[in-house]
Amino acid sequence: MLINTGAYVFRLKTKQQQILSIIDTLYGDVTTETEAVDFQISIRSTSFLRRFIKPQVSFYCDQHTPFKPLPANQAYPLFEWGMNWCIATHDHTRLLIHAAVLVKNGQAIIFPAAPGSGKSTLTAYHSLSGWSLYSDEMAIIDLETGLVEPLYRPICLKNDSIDLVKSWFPNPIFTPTWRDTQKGDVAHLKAKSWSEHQDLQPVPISAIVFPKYTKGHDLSIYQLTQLQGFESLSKNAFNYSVLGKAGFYAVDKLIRQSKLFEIKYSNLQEVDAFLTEDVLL
Amino acid sequence: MSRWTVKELANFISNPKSLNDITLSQWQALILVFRESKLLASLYHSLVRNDLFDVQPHYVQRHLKAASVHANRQRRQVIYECQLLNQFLLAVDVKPIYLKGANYILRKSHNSYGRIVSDIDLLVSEKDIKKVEDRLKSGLWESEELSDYDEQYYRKWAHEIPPLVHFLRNTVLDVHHNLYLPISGRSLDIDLFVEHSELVGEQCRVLCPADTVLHSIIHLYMNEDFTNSFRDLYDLYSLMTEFGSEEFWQRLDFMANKTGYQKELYYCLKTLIQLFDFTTPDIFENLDVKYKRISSDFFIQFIVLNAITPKHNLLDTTKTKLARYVVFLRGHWLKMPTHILIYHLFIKSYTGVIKFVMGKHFLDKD
Repeated sequence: MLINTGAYVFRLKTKQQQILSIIDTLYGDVTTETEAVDFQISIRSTSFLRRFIKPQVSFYCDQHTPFKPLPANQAYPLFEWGMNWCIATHDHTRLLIHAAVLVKNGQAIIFPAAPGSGKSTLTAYHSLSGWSLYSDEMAIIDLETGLVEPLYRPICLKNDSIDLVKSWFPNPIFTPTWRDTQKGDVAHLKAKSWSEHQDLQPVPISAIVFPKYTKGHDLSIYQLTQLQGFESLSKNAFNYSVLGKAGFYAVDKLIRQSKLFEIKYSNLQEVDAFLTEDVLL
Repeated sequence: MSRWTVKELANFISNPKSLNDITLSQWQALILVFRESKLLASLYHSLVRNDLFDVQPHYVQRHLKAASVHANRQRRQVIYECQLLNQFLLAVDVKPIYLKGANYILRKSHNSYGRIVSDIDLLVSEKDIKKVEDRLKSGLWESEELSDYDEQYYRKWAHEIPPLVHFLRNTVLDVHHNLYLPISGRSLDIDLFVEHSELVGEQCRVLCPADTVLHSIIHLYMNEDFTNSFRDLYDLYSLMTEFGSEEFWQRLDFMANKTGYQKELYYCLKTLIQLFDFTTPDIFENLDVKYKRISSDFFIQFIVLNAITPKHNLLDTTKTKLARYVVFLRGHWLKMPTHILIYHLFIKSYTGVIKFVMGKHFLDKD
C-alpha cells in the first residue's frame, strides 16, 4: 500500500488489517501517481508465540526496526511515529525541525515545542480556523531557499485535547482513540484534504513562536533575542548536528529573518488574534 | 524486479557509467540495497568523482546526497574523537594506532569518502591494555553491560576488550591488542605492524597502506559475520587500486607470508579479479601456484561470492543464505579450538531460541 505524504512517499507492507482502513480514511484521497517510493516500511508481529499471548507489533524501515515493539492494538500510532523516524533520520538534504507549521497570507509561522506544550492542540485549532496546516510535527526547510514545505499528514492529538478539539469542531475526521500509549491517549485528526494540500506551495518563514500552554494563564508574550532563538531552534532540529555547517547557516538565516516569540497561553482565540494582527503583516 | 548479481553491484559502484540505463523503479531498489550495504554514500562519491552525479534524476540525487551528508558527519566525528583520544592517552604515554574506518578517514583514502563507521578501532600493545582501559574509564568511556559469558569471551579469548561507549557522545570504541583472536593460535606479531606505522593528518598514527590492506583482508576472510562484507571488499578494491605500487605489493606479500595469512591474501585477490575490473598484480602468479586447489576455487566460487552478496531480501536466495551459514560455521571454526567452539555455539543457540520464542527483547536487561 502506498502512502503519499506529499514530500515523501512510503510503501507499507503489513498483515495488520486494523490499520489499513484508518490509512484509507486519512490518506485515501491522494490521487497523485508515484514513480519511486522513498521508504519501504512494514508493521509485523514480533514472534510466533507473541501472536497468541499479548500480541505485539514492530515497525520496520526496510529491514530494521528502530523501536521496541508495542502492543498490537497500537499499530496505527506506531506507523505514524515510524514515518516520522524515517524522515528525521534519513533526509539530510533539508533542515528538519520538530515543530508545527501554520501558514496565512503566504507567510509561515513555525512552532517548535517539546511534548506537553500544547503544540498539536494549537495546530488543530488554527488549521480549522482559517490557517493552512503545513505540518503538525515537522518543519521541512530547504537549506538554500529557506522555504518551508507542506506535508500531508494528520495532526496527532493527545489526552484531554482529543475531546476538547472534538467539542470545538464536531465534524472533522478523527481516528479512534488509543488509550495508554507511551504518549498517553492518542488520536489523529485529518485537518485537510488532498486537493487543499495540492494548492499549498513552499513559503518563507516570517516568525518562530515557542508556545507553552499554561492552564488559566492570560496570553503573555515574550520577545526572544536572536541568541535565545538560535539556541532553542537548533535544540529542536532533528538533524542539526548531522548537517554541520549547512545546518548552522540555515538556522542562522532563519533566526535573522524571523520574529521570535515565546508565548504562554490558555485561550487559543487570543493566540489567533495575536498571530494574525501582530505577527503577520 | 531484477535481482542483481554481486558482480553487477560491484560494477555499478566501481564503474558508475554502468548506471546510465537504470530506471527509476530500479533505482528505488538499488538505493535500498546500497543503503543496507552501507555503501550508499560511497556510491554518491563514486558518481561525483566520475562527473555523473548531476545527471541523475532528482529522486536519486536526493537520497544519495542525504546519505553523503550523514557519512560526512561521521567523518568529522571520527577525526574529532581521534584527536581527543590522542591527547587523552598521552597522559599514560600511549600512542594508539587507528584501524579500519578511522584509519581510512585519517589517511583520506578514496574509500573513506562516504564510509560509514559504526565504531572507532584502535590498537595498543598488550602490555598497555590495562593502563589504556583504566585511563579511558576515568574519562567518561564506559563498558556496555555484557552477559557474564560475553565478558569472559572478550577477556580470555579475544584480541580486544569489551567495547567502550562515551557517556555523552555515544561514540563506540574498540580497543585492540592484536589483529586476530589469540585463542585461535593465529594472532600476529604486532611489533611488525607498529614499526611500519605512519603518522598522517591530525597527528594520528595508522598502519602503512600494505598493512592496512592485510588487516582488512584478515578481518574479512576470517570473519564469521559477512553482513558488511561487500562494503569491506569494496574497501579492499579501492585501497589496492589507490595504493598499488610495486613497493606496496612487495610489502603486502612479505607481511602476509610472515604473519601466516598468505592464503587469505590469495582468496582476496581471487575474489577481486572475479568481481571488479581489477589489474592482477604480479604477486598473484606465485600465490596461484601455491594455493590453487579445487577446494579453494570452490570456496571462492560457491561460498565467498554468494556470502558476500549484500544481505537484502531483494537479493537473498537459498544459495546466499546457505553460503552465509557456511561462512558463519567456518569463521567460528577458525576462531576457536573445537571444545571451546562447541561450548560457544551451545550458549549462543540457547539464547537464540529463547529470543525466537519470546521476542527479541526478552533477555534485555532493563
